[in-house]
Amino acid sequence: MRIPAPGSSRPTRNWRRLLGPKQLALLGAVFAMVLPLILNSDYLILVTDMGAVVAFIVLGLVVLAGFTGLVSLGQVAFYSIGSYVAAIVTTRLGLSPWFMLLIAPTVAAAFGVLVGIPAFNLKGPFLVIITIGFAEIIRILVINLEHLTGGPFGISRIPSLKLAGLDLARPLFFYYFIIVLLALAMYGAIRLRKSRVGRALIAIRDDELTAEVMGVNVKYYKIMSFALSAFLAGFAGALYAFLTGYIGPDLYTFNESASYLCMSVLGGFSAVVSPLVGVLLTLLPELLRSLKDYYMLFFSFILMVLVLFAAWREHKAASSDSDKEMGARSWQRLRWK
Amino acid sequence: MLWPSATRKEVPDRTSFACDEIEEGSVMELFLQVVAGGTAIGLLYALPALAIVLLWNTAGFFNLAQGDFVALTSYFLYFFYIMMHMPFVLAAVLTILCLGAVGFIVDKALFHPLRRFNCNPLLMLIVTIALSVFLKNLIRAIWGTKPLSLGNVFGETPLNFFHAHIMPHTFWTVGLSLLLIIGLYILSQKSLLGVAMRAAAESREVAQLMGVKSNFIISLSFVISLMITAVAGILATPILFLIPEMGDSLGLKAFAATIIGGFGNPLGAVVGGILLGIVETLAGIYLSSSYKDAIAFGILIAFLLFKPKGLFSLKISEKV
Amino acid sequence: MAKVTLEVKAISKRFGGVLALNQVDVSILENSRHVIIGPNGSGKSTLINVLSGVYTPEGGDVFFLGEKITGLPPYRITAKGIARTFQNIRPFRGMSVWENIALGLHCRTHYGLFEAISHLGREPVESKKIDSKVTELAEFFEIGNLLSANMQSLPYGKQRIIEIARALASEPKLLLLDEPAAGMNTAEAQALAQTIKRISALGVTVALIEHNMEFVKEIADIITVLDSGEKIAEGSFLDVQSNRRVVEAYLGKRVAANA
Repeated sequence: MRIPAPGSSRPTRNWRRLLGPKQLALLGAVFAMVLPLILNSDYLILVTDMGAVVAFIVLGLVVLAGFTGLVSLGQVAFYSIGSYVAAIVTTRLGLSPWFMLLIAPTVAAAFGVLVGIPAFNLKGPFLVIITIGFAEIIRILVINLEHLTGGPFGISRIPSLKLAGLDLARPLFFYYFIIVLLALAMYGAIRLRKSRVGRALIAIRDDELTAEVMGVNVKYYKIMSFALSAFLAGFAGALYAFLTGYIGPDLYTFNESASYLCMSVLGGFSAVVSPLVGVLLTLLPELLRSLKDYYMLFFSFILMVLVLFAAWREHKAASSDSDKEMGARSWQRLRWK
Repeated sequence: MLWPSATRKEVPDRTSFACDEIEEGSVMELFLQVVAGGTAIGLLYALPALAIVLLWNTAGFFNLAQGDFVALTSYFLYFFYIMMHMPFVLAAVLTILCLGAVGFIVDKALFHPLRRFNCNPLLMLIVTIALSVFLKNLIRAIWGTKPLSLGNVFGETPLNFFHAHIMPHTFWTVGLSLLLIIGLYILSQKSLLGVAMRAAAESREVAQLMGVKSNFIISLSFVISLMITAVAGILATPILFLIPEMGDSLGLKAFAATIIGGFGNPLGAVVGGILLGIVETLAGIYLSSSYKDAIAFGILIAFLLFKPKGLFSLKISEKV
Repeated sequence: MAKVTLEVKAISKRFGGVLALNQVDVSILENSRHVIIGPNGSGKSTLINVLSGVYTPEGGDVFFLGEKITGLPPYRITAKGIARTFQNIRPFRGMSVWENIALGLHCRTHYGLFEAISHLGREPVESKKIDSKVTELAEFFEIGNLLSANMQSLPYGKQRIIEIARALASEPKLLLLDEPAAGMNTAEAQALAQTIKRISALGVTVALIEHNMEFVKEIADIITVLDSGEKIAEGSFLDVQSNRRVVEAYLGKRVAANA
């Protein structure tokens, strides 16, 4: 798990050809189709649905932090905005939930632009701080603007999505609905990575100055990244509201943001693996009820071990380089200069 | 009183400063109380802020888990003082030592290897985030989520200071913090160790050439930064409810202090913290208590946007 | 009368108390190979940084093909036709060689987010264009077999070549190279000199900074000498070699006096 280079190909070994991306995707699709049968419980399917919702947020983080290198601990704010806009408009104004599935994420994306514009100047830890601060402000606003958001009591009786007579709030129906959307989103992210836009983002992540000198409008792409990740998180928020019919402020805490980031990292910032890790880490604590309270402890520990391992591997690879100059320069890389 | 679950994180701090009696019609007294209270709170932000800047300057990375180390301090203190029934001073000293030990372990097990592997700064940041999550969950696993409290350690009766009533806790906080800060300053300027650390901060390679064992210095500065944080934690705990997430808000404000004061500048961090504390206290009194935190974060964001170099900045430019 | 590609007029650049460039004038002629030399700290890299938009000068102007480009952000300057490499190699480590070079084409191809995700609109055509252009460049630099490698695993000399390829991908009219031969042995430097001549033959104007005098002698049409932020000499290699101020700058006054 190195900071990802999904675009760079290495010579593939024979077994890889047998299990190429297309075959894996097919296997994945089949597995996804039959998963509800394996789980055999409406409750577990509901939890998987929630996991799939989280997967969208994680996918957004893969684009923002994985592709563009902008680490954000504030994604929960966009998630929350998406949920609340969807909930408020459908319950107060009676607009169709389907319509809100497009509008709510767009509002979230607008906030993403709002955060992105000033944030484009900020490096690493400063960016993280501003995203945390932003998320906190949103959280406090949500709790205190009671006439709008219902304050600590949240919003209930949110209408659900109905498709061809089917009520998509039923976990099973929602499941098939969301995995199609998720698959499309993941495919979109892969296509993004392989495109000119994706290259620009990776360039910004790897070396912002050089990217700019090579002709990339860094400011524009950073803002675009924020907007896209906010859109995905807002979309997840709207989906959640329509799935459960009730939202409240304690769903949108800083802890969530931290776990989204952990999920992205555990998946190696891959457009496919990270969202699936998100689903898994949402489902797992329910499957292993006894460990429920400890799973985040466990996984954050694993994450640290994995990072150590990844750094060790990079180091071994780099020191066997014939180019010693790079080794000498890597002290510089530790600093955010 | 029932706490709705939504405000679980919103547990109000039992800021004794807000309980200070306000004598009728005296602007001077109110002013003194605000300044005293604000400064005390501000110093509680300033100390972790100083720790962050110290670490950044010598080691070049940003410890996002700082707030959670404050939380860990509080819980250790609770353990020694309440659960083990030790006298407060003994408990405090043991807590500081424990934090130092934790710092040593974390550095040896995590940060030192990562430095040796020339870890990418992005990954380094993520590691501190993972550490933060780990610490929170560790606290939760050991002590549970029910809010705990230390009780009033420094005494309930306010003292009379130029006719303003100020809690003893305020005095202790301001006094001890300033002592620590001055002590650190003297250490950094006068002692060999301090000079070595400042050298390492300026230029690691040159310092190494001059014989400074930079790895040792970085490990040491991490331990020192944690011990500073521990002092802050000890002073803060009596006025807070202990919950696993308590470090988040404090940590964020400590970051805010470093940025407001000018990143990389230790004095700036202290000044930034004090300013933040005073402004927050004022906002709490004159504007609204529930938006107090939002205002603090708003200030942080405003600074990051308009004055990202803070009030007293140090120039750091990249050679192309 | 040869056309002027780049006109640098009285450029001054200050860093705090240090005046890195002091009223420097340079004219770079079309399709020439213009080399900038000077002792360390004379402001050569600073000049290139000003020309490519990385620094904004305190005084003076830069005109490219008659148009004023002073103060424009780097990506706009690149779009106008100036490309550059850096003194330290700066590859994009997360991408393969192919992708690095393709990134150079970023400002010459145009399709947006939606088109990228959906394969629609301009994307198919532009993608083909990128494919063919990268292949073309790979052939020109003879690195076709390295395209799928990760930059980090390649030897230093190859990385330098790829950086030049990346810069050339943006179809520049002016190519600025900052010490392209640094760290190269004689054979590699010779090969590089030939490559630069071939780039020249394509019609690209090349301006570069170098210390390796053999290399400079091989390729330079005109040489500008900087010392302590000022231009002290300009001309052919022979002119500059015998110029007393230049000798002084490199070797000190006493040696120059004895020369």
